[in-house]
Amino acid sequence: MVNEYYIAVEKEVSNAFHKEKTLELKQFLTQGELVDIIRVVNAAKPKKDVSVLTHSFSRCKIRMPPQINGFIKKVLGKAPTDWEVWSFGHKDYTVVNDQALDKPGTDIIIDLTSTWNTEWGGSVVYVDGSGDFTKIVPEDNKLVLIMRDKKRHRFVQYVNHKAEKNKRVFLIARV
Amino acid sequence: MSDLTQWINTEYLAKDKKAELKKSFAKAKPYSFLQLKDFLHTEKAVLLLKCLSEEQFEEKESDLFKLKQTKDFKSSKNKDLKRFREFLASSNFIAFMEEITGSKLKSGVVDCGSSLYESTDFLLPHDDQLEGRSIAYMLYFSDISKKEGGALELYGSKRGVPSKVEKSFQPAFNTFAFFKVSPVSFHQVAEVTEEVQRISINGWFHGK
Repeated sequence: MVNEYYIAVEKEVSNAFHKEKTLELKQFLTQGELVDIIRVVNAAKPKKDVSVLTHSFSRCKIRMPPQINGFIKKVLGKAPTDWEVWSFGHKDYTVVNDQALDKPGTDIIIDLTSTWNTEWGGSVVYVDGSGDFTKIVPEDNKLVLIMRDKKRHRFVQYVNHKAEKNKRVFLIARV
Repeated sequence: MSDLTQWINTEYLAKDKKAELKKSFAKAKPYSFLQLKDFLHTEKAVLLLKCLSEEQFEEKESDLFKLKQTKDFKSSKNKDLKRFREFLASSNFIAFMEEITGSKLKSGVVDCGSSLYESTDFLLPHDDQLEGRSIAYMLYFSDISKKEGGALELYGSKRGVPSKVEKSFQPAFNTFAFFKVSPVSFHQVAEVTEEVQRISINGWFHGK
Protein backbone atom coordinates (compact mmCIF):
# COMPACT_ATOMS: atom_id res chain seq x y z
CA MET A 1 0.00 0.00 0.00
CA VAL A 2 1.06 3.54 -0.74
CA ASN A 3 1.51 5.64 2.41
CA GLU A 4 -2.01 6.87 3.25
CA TYR A 5 -0.80 10.41 3.73
CA TYR A 6 0.24 10.67 0.08
CA ILE A 7 -3.06 9.19 -1.09
CA ALA A 8 -4.90 11.87 0.88
CA VAL A 9 -2.93 14.65 -0.79
CA GLU A 10 -2.43 13.16 -4.26
CA LYS A 11 -3.81 16.24 -6.02
CA GLU A 12 -1.29 18.46 -4.22
CA VAL A 13 1.45 15.93 -5.07
CA SER A 14 0.46 16.11 -8.74
CA ASN A 15 0.43 19.91 -8.74
CA ALA A 16 3.83 20.04 -7.05
CA PHE A 17 5.36 17.66 -9.60
CA HIS A 18 3.99 19.53 -12.61
CA LYS A 19 5.28 22.80 -11.16
CA GLU A 20 8.75 21.61 -10.09
CA LYS A 21 9.35 18.79 -12.66
CA THR A 22 10.99 16.80 -9.85
CA LEU A 23 9.48 15.25 -6.75
CA GLU A 24 10.69 13.01 -3.93
CA LEU A 25 8.28 11.26 -1.55
CA LYS A 26 9.97 9.65 1.45
CA GLN A 27 8.41 6.67 3.27
CA PHE A 28 6.41 6.13 0.09
CA LEU A 29 5.18 2.61 0.85
CA THR A 30 3.80 1.10 4.03
CA GLN A 31 6.31 -1.18 5.76
CA GLY A 32 4.24 -4.25 4.80
CA GLU A 33 4.22 -3.32 1.10
CA LEU A 34 7.94 -2.51 1.17
CA VAL A 35 8.74 -5.93 2.67
CA ASP A 36 6.57 -7.65 0.03
CA ILE A 37 8.28 -5.79 -2.83
CA ILE A 38 11.76 -6.51 -1.48
CA ARG A 39 10.78 -10.21 -1.27
CA VAL A 40 9.68 -10.16 -4.93
CA VAL A 41 12.88 -8.33 -5.97
CA ASN A 42 15.09 -10.80 -4.12
CA ALA A 43 13.33 -13.70 -5.84
CA ALA A 44 13.59 -12.04 -9.27
CA LYS A 45 17.37 -12.49 -9.56
CA PRO A 46 18.38 -9.66 -11.94
CA LYS A 47 20.78 -10.66 -14.73
CA LYS A 48 24.00 -8.84 -15.57
CA ASP A 49 23.73 -6.54 -18.59
CA VAL A 50 27.01 -5.08 -19.87
CA SER A 51 27.68 -2.85 -22.83
CA VAL A 52 31.12 -1.48 -22.03
CA LEU A 53 30.63 2.02 -23.47
CA THR A 54 27.24 2.64 -21.89
CA HIS A 55 26.49 0.51 -18.85
CA SER A 56 27.18 -2.38 -16.54
CA PHE A 57 24.56 -3.49 -14.00
CA SER A 58 21.98 -6.20 -13.32
CA ARG A 59 18.37 -5.88 -14.32
CA CYS A 60 15.07 -7.75 -14.72
CA LYS A 61 11.42 -6.95 -15.30
CA ILE A 62 9.04 -6.92 -12.36
CA ARG A 63 5.26 -6.67 -11.91
CA MET A 64 4.09 -3.81 -9.75
CA PRO A 65 0.95 -3.88 -7.56
CA PRO A 66 -1.94 -2.05 -9.32
CA GLN A 67 -2.38 0.33 -6.42
CA ILE A 68 1.09 1.79 -6.94
CA ASN A 69 0.55 2.23 -10.67
CA GLY A 70 -2.85 3.76 -9.86
CA PHE A 71 -1.30 6.34 -7.56
CA ILE A 72 1.30 7.26 -10.18
CA LYS A 73 -1.41 7.58 -12.84
CA LYS A 74 -3.23 10.09 -10.65
CA VAL A 75 -0.06 12.11 -10.18
CA LEU A 76 1.31 11.98 -13.74
CA GLY A 77 -1.88 11.40 -15.72
CA LYS A 78 -0.40 8.17 -17.12
CA ALA A 79 0.48 4.84 -15.55
CA PRO A 80 3.78 3.10 -16.22
CA THR A 81 3.52 -0.29 -17.92
CA ASP A 82 7.02 -1.72 -17.61
CA TRP A 83 8.94 -1.76 -14.37
CA GLU A 84 12.47 -3.02 -13.98
CA VAL A 85 14.73 -3.81 -11.06
CA TRP A 86 18.15 -2.18 -11.46
CA SER A 87 20.89 -3.46 -9.20
CA PHE A 88 24.40 -1.94 -8.97
CA GLY A 89 27.40 -3.47 -7.25
CA HIS A 90 31.13 -2.71 -7.35
CA LYS A 91 32.30 -1.63 -10.85
CA ASP A 92 28.75 -1.03 -12.13
CA TYR A 93 27.73 2.23 -13.83
CA THR A 94 25.75 3.86 -16.57
CA VAL A 95 26.95 6.81 -18.66
CA VAL A 96 25.27 9.42 -20.79
CA ASN A 97 25.84 8.21 -24.34
CA ASP A 98 24.46 9.73 -27.53
CA GLN A 99 23.84 6.25 -28.91
CA ALA A 100 21.76 5.08 -25.95
CA LEU A 101 19.56 7.93 -24.79
CA ASP A 102 16.05 7.43 -23.46
CA LYS A 103 13.27 9.37 -25.16
CA PRO A 104 12.15 12.46 -23.22
CA GLY A 105 9.59 11.57 -20.55
CA THR A 106 9.35 11.05 -16.82
CA ASP A 107 11.50 8.66 -14.78
CA ILE A 108 9.76 6.96 -11.87
CA ILE A 109 12.14 5.49 -9.32
CA ILE A 110 11.32 3.60 -6.14
CA ASP A 111 14.48 3.28 -4.10
CA LEU A 112 15.04 0.06 -2.16
CA THR A 113 18.61 0.69 -1.00
CA SER A 114 18.71 0.34 2.77
CA THR A 115 22.46 0.33 3.52
CA TRP A 116 24.45 2.80 1.49
CA ASN A 117 27.01 5.57 1.79
CA THR A 118 27.02 8.19 -0.98
CA GLU A 119 30.86 8.03 -0.99
CA TRP A 120 30.49 4.62 -2.60
CA GLY A 121 28.97 6.22 -5.76
CA GLY A 122 25.69 4.81 -7.11
CA SER A 123 23.70 8.06 -6.98
CA VAL A 124 21.37 8.66 -9.92
CA VAL A 125 22.44 11.95 -11.51
CA TYR A 126 20.55 14.07 -14.04
CA VAL A 127 22.59 16.52 -16.12
CA ASP A 128 21.45 19.11 -18.64
CA GLY A 129 24.75 20.01 -20.28
CA SER A 130 24.91 23.44 -18.63
CA GLY A 131 26.85 22.26 -15.59
CA ASP A 132 23.67 22.04 -13.48
CA PHE A 133 22.73 18.65 -12.13
CA THR A 134 20.21 16.91 -9.88
CA LYS A 135 21.55 14.11 -7.73
CA ILE A 136 19.22 11.44 -6.34
CA VAL A 137 21.02 9.95 -3.36
CA PRO A 138 20.20 6.39 -2.30
CA GLU A 139 17.55 6.14 0.42
CA ASP A 140 15.20 3.24 0.91
CA ASN A 141 11.44 3.54 0.38
CA LYS A 142 11.64 6.81 -1.54
CA LEU A 143 9.64 7.57 -4.69
CA VAL A 144 11.32 9.91 -7.15
CA LEU A 145 9.57 11.43 -10.13
CA ILE A 146 11.77 13.40 -12.49
CA MET A 147 10.92 14.87 -15.85
CA ARG A 148 13.49 14.51 -18.62
CA ASP A 149 13.37 16.83 -21.61
CA LYS A 150 15.69 16.58 -24.63
CA LYS A 151 18.56 18.18 -22.70
CA ARG A 152 18.23 16.33 -19.41
CA HIS A 153 19.98 12.98 -19.26
CA ARG A 154 20.48 10.37 -16.58
CA PHE A 155 23.48 8.39 -15.40
CA VAL A 156 24.23 6.23 -12.39
CA GLN A 157 27.60 6.96 -10.78
CA TYR A 158 30.26 4.26 -10.91
CA VAL A 159 30.11 2.13 -7.73
CA ASN A 160 33.55 1.97 -6.14
CA HIS A 161 35.28 -0.72 -4.09
CA LYS A 162 34.18 0.82 -0.80
CA ALA A 163 30.68 -0.55 -1.46
CA GLU A 164 32.19 -4.03 -0.95
CA LYS A 165 29.34 -6.54 -1.39
CA ASN A 166 26.53 -4.01 -0.87
CA LYS A 167 24.05 -3.49 -3.70
CA ARG A 168 22.35 -0.30 -4.73
CA VAL A 169 18.87 -1.41 -5.82
CA PHE A 170 15.91 0.51 -7.18
CA LEU A 171 12.83 0.00 -9.31
CA ILE A 172 12.50 2.15 -12.40
CA ALA A 173 9.80 2.83 -14.95
CA ARG A 174 9.46 5.48 -17.63
CA VAL A 175 6.37 7.18 -19.07
CA MET B 1 66.18 22.90 -31.09
CA SER B 2 65.83 20.33 -28.27
CA ASP B 3 68.49 17.68 -27.99
CA LEU B 4 66.86 14.29 -27.39
CA THR B 5 69.86 13.06 -25.42
CA GLN B 6 69.27 15.73 -22.78
CA TRP B 7 66.01 14.07 -21.73
CA ILE B 8 65.72 10.54 -23.11
CA ASN B 9 67.55 7.38 -22.11
CA THR B 10 69.99 7.08 -25.03
CA GLU B 11 69.21 3.35 -25.34
CA TYR B 12 66.02 4.42 -27.15
CA LEU B 13 67.81 6.61 -29.67
CA ALA B 14 69.89 3.95 -31.41
CA LYS B 15 68.81 3.28 -34.99
CA ASP B 16 68.31 -0.46 -34.49
CA LYS B 17 66.36 0.09 -31.30
CA LYS B 18 64.02 2.53 -33.01
CA ALA B 19 63.41 0.04 -35.83
CA GLU B 20 62.61 -2.63 -33.24
CA LEU B 21 60.21 -0.28 -31.42
CA LYS B 22 58.49 0.60 -34.68
CA LYS B 23 57.82 -3.09 -35.31
CA SER B 24 56.56 -3.69 -31.78
CA PHE B 25 54.23 -0.69 -31.97
CA ALA B 26 52.76 -1.77 -35.30
CA LYS B 27 52.30 -5.40 -34.22
CA ALA B 28 50.85 -4.71 -30.76
CA LYS B 29 47.44 -6.16 -29.90
CA PRO B 30 44.64 -5.21 -29.51
CA TYR B 31 45.89 -2.02 -31.20
CA SER B 32 49.15 -0.13 -31.72
CA PHE B 33 50.59 0.47 -28.28
CA LEU B 34 54.02 0.65 -26.71
CA GLN B 35 55.55 1.27 -23.32
CA LEU B 36 59.17 2.29 -22.81
CA LYS B 37 60.60 1.66 -19.35
CA ASP B 38 63.19 4.02 -17.82
CA PHE B 39 62.36 6.47 -20.57
CA LEU B 40 63.87 9.68 -19.23
CA HIS B 41 67.18 10.13 -17.49
CA THR B 42 66.32 9.34 -13.88
CA GLU B 43 67.27 12.80 -12.60
CA LYS B 44 64.89 14.37 -15.15
CA ALA B 45 62.03 12.09 -14.06
CA VAL B 46 62.71 12.90 -10.40
CA LEU B 47 62.79 16.62 -11.21
CA LEU B 48 59.43 16.44 -13.01
CA LEU B 49 57.88 14.53 -10.11
CA LYS B 50 59.08 17.21 -7.70
CA CYS B 51 57.54 19.88 -9.96
CA LEU B 52 54.24 17.97 -10.07
CA SER B 53 54.12 17.85 -6.28
CA GLU B 54 53.95 21.66 -6.34
CA GLU B 55 51.25 21.89 -9.02
CA GLN B 56 47.58 22.61 -8.36
CA PHE B 57 45.33 19.60 -9.08
CA GLU B 58 41.62 20.18 -9.54
CA GLU B 59 39.00 17.50 -8.82
CA LYS B 60 37.08 16.43 -11.92
CA GLU B 61 34.01 14.23 -11.89
CA SER B 62 31.50 13.15 -14.53
CA ASP B 63 29.65 10.00 -15.60
CA LEU B 64 32.91 8.83 -17.22
CA PHE B 65 35.60 9.69 -14.67
CA LYS B 66 36.62 10.81 -11.21
CA LEU B 67 40.19 12.10 -10.89
CA LYS B 68 42.32 15.20 -10.30
CA GLN B 69 43.99 17.15 -13.10
CA THR B 70 46.27 20.13 -13.60
CA LYS B 71 45.71 22.62 -16.37
CA ASP B 72 47.83 22.24 -19.51
CA PHE B 73 51.43 23.07 -18.64
CA LYS B 74 51.44 25.90 -21.16
CA SER B 75 49.76 27.92 -18.39
CA SER B 76 51.97 26.55 -15.58
CA LYS B 77 54.28 28.87 -13.70
CA ASN B 78 56.81 26.04 -13.35
CA LYS B 79 59.66 26.51 -15.82
CA ASP B 80 60.73 22.85 -15.84
CA LEU B 81 57.23 21.60 -16.66
CA LYS B 82 56.97 24.18 -19.44
CA ARG B 83 60.40 23.14 -20.68
CA PHE B 84 59.33 19.46 -20.75
CA ARG B 85 56.19 20.38 -22.64
CA GLU B 86 58.30 22.29 -25.17
CA PHE B 87 60.57 19.27 -25.47
CA LEU B 88 57.60 16.98 -26.28
CA ALA B 89 56.42 19.44 -28.94
CA SER B 90 59.92 19.95 -30.40
CA SER B 91 60.60 18.93 -33.98
CA ASN B 92 63.24 16.42 -32.81
CA PHE B 93 60.92 14.62 -30.43
CA ILE B 94 58.02 14.74 -32.90
CA ALA B 95 60.35 13.17 -35.49
CA PHE B 96 61.26 10.44 -32.95
CA MET B 97 57.54 9.73 -32.34
CA GLU B 98 56.81 9.77 -36.08
CA GLU B 99 59.58 7.26 -36.69
CA ILE B 100 58.18 4.80 -34.13
CA THR B 101 54.45 5.25 -34.75
CA GLY B 102 54.52 5.80 -38.51
CA SER B 103 52.06 8.67 -37.98
CA LYS B 104 52.50 12.14 -39.42
CA LEU B 105 52.46 14.48 -36.43
CA LYS B 106 52.29 18.24 -36.08
CA SER B 107 55.48 19.75 -34.76
CA GLY B 108 55.00 22.40 -32.06
CA VAL B 109 51.59 21.02 -31.01
CA VAL B 110 50.98 18.86 -27.96
CA ASP B 111 48.40 18.62 -25.18
CA CYS B 112 50.27 18.16 -21.93
CA GLY B 113 49.02 18.13 -18.34
CA SER B 114 49.06 15.88 -15.31
CA SER B 115 46.50 13.48 -13.86
CA LEU B 116 46.31 12.19 -10.33
CA TYR B 117 44.21 9.17 -9.36
CA GLU B 118 43.68 8.32 -5.70
CA SER B 119 41.51 5.72 -3.96
CA THR B 120 38.09 5.30 -5.74
CA ASP B 121 39.21 7.37 -8.79
CA PHE B 122 38.64 5.81 -12.23
CA LEU B 123 38.23 6.45 -15.95
CA LEU B 124 35.60 4.35 -17.72
CA PRO B 125 36.03 2.87 -21.24
CA HIS B 126 36.26 5.34 -24.12
CA ASP B 127 38.26 5.71 -27.36
CA ASP B 128 39.95 9.15 -26.90
CA GLN B 129 38.83 10.22 -30.37
CA LEU B 130 38.58 13.96 -30.71
CA GLU B 131 39.47 16.08 -33.71
CA GLY B 132 43.21 16.22 -34.30
CA ARG B 133 44.32 13.66 -31.71
CA SER B 134 46.66 11.12 -33.27
CA ILE B 135 48.79 9.58 -30.51
CA ALA B 136 47.81 9.44 -26.82
CA TYR B 137 50.68 9.29 -24.34
CA MET B 138 51.30 8.85 -20.61
CA LEU B 139 54.49 9.22 -18.63
CA TYR B 140 54.06 7.57 -15.24
CA PHE B 141 55.56 8.75 -11.98
CA SER B 142 54.18 6.03 -9.67
CA ASP B 143 54.79 2.36 -9.15
CA ILE B 144 51.35 0.83 -8.68
CA SER B 145 50.84 -2.85 -7.93
CA LYS B 146 47.98 -4.96 -9.27
CA LYS B 147 46.42 -5.07 -5.82
CA GLU B 148 46.26 -1.27 -5.77
CA GLY B 149 44.30 -1.01 -9.05
CA GLY B 150 44.94 1.86 -11.49
CA ALA B 151 45.92 -0.31 -14.47
CA LEU B 152 45.66 1.06 -17.98
CA GLU B 153 43.43 -1.52 -19.66
CA LEU B 154 43.10 -1.91 -23.42
CA TYR B 155 39.94 -3.43 -24.89
CA GLY B 156 39.74 -5.69 -27.87
CA SER B 157 36.81 -4.99 -30.18
CA LYS B 158 34.45 -6.76 -32.53
CA ARG B 159 32.86 -4.81 -35.39
CA GLY B 160 33.92 -1.54 -33.76
CA VAL B 161 32.42 -2.39 -30.37
CA PRO B 162 34.66 -3.00 -27.34
CA SER B 163 34.43 -6.57 -26.12
CA LYS B 164 36.83 -7.40 -23.29
CA VAL B 165 40.07 -6.23 -21.70
CA GLU B 166 42.91 -7.83 -23.65
CA LYS B 167 45.92 -6.05 -22.16
CA SER B 168 46.46 -4.54 -18.76
CA PHE B 169 49.45 -2.38 -17.75
CA GLN B 170 50.38 -1.35 -14.23
CA PRO B 171 51.94 2.13 -14.07
CA ALA B 172 55.65 2.13 -13.29
CA PHE B 173 57.87 5.11 -12.49
CA ASN B 174 59.45 6.70 -15.56
CA THR B 175 57.60 4.50 -18.07
CA PHE B 176 56.43 6.25 -21.21
CA ALA B 177 53.39 4.62 -22.83
CA PHE B 178 51.56 5.63 -25.97
CA PHE B 179 48.95 4.33 -28.41
CA LYS B 180 47.44 5.27 -31.72
CA VAL B 181 44.05 6.97 -31.36
CA SER B 182 41.51 5.30 -33.63
CA PRO B 183 37.84 4.28 -33.68
CA VAL B 184 38.84 1.11 -31.79
CA SER B 185 41.37 2.48 -29.27
CA PHE B 186 39.03 1.60 -26.38
CA HIS B 187 40.72 1.79 -23.00
CA GLN B 188 40.07 2.60 -19.37
CA VAL B 189 41.91 3.31 -16.14
CA ALA B 190 40.81 0.77 -13.56
CA GLU B 191 39.70 2.15 -10.20
CA VAL B 192 42.47 2.80 -7.69
CA THR B 193 41.53 0.64 -4.73
CA GLU B 194 44.19 1.49 -2.15
CA GLU B 195 45.47 4.69 -0.52
CA VAL B 196 48.09 5.39 -3.20
CA GLN B 197 48.69 8.15 -5.72
CA ARG B 198 48.81 7.31 -9.41
CA ILE B 199 50.48 10.29 -11.08
CA SER B 200 51.19 10.80 -14.76
CA ILE B 201 51.93 13.45 -17.31
CA ASN B 202 49.64 12.75 -20.22
CA GLY B 203 48.11 14.18 -23.35
CA TRP B 204 48.03 13.81 -27.10
CA PHE B 205 50.16 14.45 -30.15
CA HIS B 206 48.17 15.82 -33.06
CA GLY B 207 48.10 14.57 -36.62
CA LYS B 208 49.06 16.63 -39.67
